[in-house]
Amino acid sequence: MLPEIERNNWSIVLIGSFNPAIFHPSWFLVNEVISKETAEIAEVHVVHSEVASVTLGPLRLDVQRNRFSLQTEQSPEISLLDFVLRVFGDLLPHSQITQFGINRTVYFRAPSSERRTQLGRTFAPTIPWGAFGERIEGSKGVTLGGMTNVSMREVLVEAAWSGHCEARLMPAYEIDADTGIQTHVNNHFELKDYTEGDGAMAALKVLKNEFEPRMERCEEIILAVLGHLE
Amino acid sequence: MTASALKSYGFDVDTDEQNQSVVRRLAFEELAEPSAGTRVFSRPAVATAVSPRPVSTPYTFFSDGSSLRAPSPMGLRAWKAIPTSAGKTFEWEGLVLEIQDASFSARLRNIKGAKAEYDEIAQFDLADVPPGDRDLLHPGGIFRWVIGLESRSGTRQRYSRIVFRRLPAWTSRSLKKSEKELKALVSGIQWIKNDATSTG
Repeated sequence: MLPEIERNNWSIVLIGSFNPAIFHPSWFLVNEVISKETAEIAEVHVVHSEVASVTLGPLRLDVQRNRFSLQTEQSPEISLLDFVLRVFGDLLPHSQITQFGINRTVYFRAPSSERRTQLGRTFAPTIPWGAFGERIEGSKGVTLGGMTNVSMREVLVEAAWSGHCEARLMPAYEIDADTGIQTHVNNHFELKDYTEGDGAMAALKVLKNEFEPRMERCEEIILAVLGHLE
Repeated sequence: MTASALKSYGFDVDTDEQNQSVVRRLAFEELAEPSAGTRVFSRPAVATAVSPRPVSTPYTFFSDGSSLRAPSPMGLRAWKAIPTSAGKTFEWEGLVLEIQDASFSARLRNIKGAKAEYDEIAQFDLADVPPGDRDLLHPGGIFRWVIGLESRSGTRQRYSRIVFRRLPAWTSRSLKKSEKELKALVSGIQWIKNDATSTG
């Protein structure tokens, strides 16, 4: 049986040029991006010309001048895509978006501390590390060592964009100091031949087409990692 | 998703005259005996994420793959208090068909979790639709129906959630534009007459 995922996080991150000062819940409400009920429970952490951070129901928005990040920990994650398409497709189509990421992070536990260590040894064997690896292999108790962070990258190239899919595996002390594991997948897209006049639409078209396939790819990678703990 | 699993979430599957699967909500009295540690709802629990105090997630991931551990003023407890989907999730995309007095019907397409490769018809209570989404409830309206487990501060509860999609207007504009371009293309075709007497 596969370990159960205990926490989920999905996010879309846009890189470009933004004006954080406008991203107030009232602006979203007036433009019908969110409902009146969501606006009533929204929390404004900060809205400033340099940075904005608001919670809109299940969505968390963090904006800086060159970065727009929207994340959620609740299904359906398609809400992220709809929100971004609505904001930048309908309301702010002239925003410059040159790169974006479609990301997923999951947290789960290994059945035991030993199984987590074994997982680390699978993804980062100690043998190639010579004497250093031997010492790690022989470590135990409070001096137990091993993998702290491993990443793998698949390079992606298409006509309109280039990018990569990068998966990262590391311990998750927030879940459990001895058994917690985190897997993060970043799908990065960079537009080719982008000019200032292109606005947001070039990125949005790719985002719209790639969001669900990339989320399926995240699921495939996560299941491959979980499979080692079955 | 098996019928018994659906039942534990408060739903059942019947077959209509057209031999199509019809998902119906169980009355509270029909709900299966909950197993220890689970809660069964007679109507869907619409979960809203209400963070009592400002929180930051432990990590901020940049699109280029780098990450930054963001300051977390309220720490681990606040992070764990954020409701999060856990375990297996079942998700369908629904298309509203008809609206009656206190319910509406929808055609469901499996997105994840269920094994059915065919569409299903389901009946939902109007009360299942969050008040904020009622204006999106009309024939042709699109929503996502998600059922699963939600974890918050170490406790778990089952949920059933309907979220109507607030789709951008530009997608319908672009569809109309494409239709217009196609019509112009078709009308611009000069058809060659088929001359029955030609021998060439």
